[in-house]
Amino acid sequence: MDDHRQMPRKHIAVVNSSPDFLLLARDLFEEEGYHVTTSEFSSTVFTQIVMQQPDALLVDLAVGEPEGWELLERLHGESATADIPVLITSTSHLLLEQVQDQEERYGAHRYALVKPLDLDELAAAIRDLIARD
Amino acid sequence: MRAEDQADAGSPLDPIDELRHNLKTPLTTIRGRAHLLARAVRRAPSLTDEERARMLDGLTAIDTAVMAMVAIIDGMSRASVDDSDETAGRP
Repeated sequence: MDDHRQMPRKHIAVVNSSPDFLLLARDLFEEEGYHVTTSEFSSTVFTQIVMQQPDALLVDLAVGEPEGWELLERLHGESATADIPVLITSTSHLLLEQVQDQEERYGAHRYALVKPLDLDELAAAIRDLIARD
Repeated sequence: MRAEDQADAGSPLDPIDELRHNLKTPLTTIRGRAHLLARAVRRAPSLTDEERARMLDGLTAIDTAVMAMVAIIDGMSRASVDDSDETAGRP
């Protein structure tokens, strides 16, 4: 038996307003061997993240949807979540640049990927984030 | 509210931005599903090399078409949409 099968699976949490994207991310990351939880934006999503303490988070920023920005700001501002590595995605280059220009408010993000995503690139970015954790 | 504050809150500064997002969201699903299928095809032991190559060619064509649509969407501006409306005879 492979030794890695004895190791607890790393946990990826995905937060996105698109149910189709959440299913896609679940299929990708489960295929990669991760434990995956998915959530649409809601008033309880931050509490879920605090309790679950995922190894990495995938958060989407959408035009006209403040929830992603608010979640990033809260994650960065709270000690219980400030060290969780976050990968941000968006359909907008501009939004990704804006959040990266405001590190003090939203935190520093090593990966900001524009959608439609290359799934191999996304999987590699998550592997790198977790390896650095 | 200042323009930069609107951006911070994720509010649309331009209806074209919202249109771009609404068009790219389903394209994200299409491209992602094509990538997942390509992974499965590469691993499928029951396929002949010819079958595998033909399926991967088809999935690559989907990916290419999606990214061509993204380039069109990124090139959209308010003026180009207005011009399109006039060409179609709409008010």
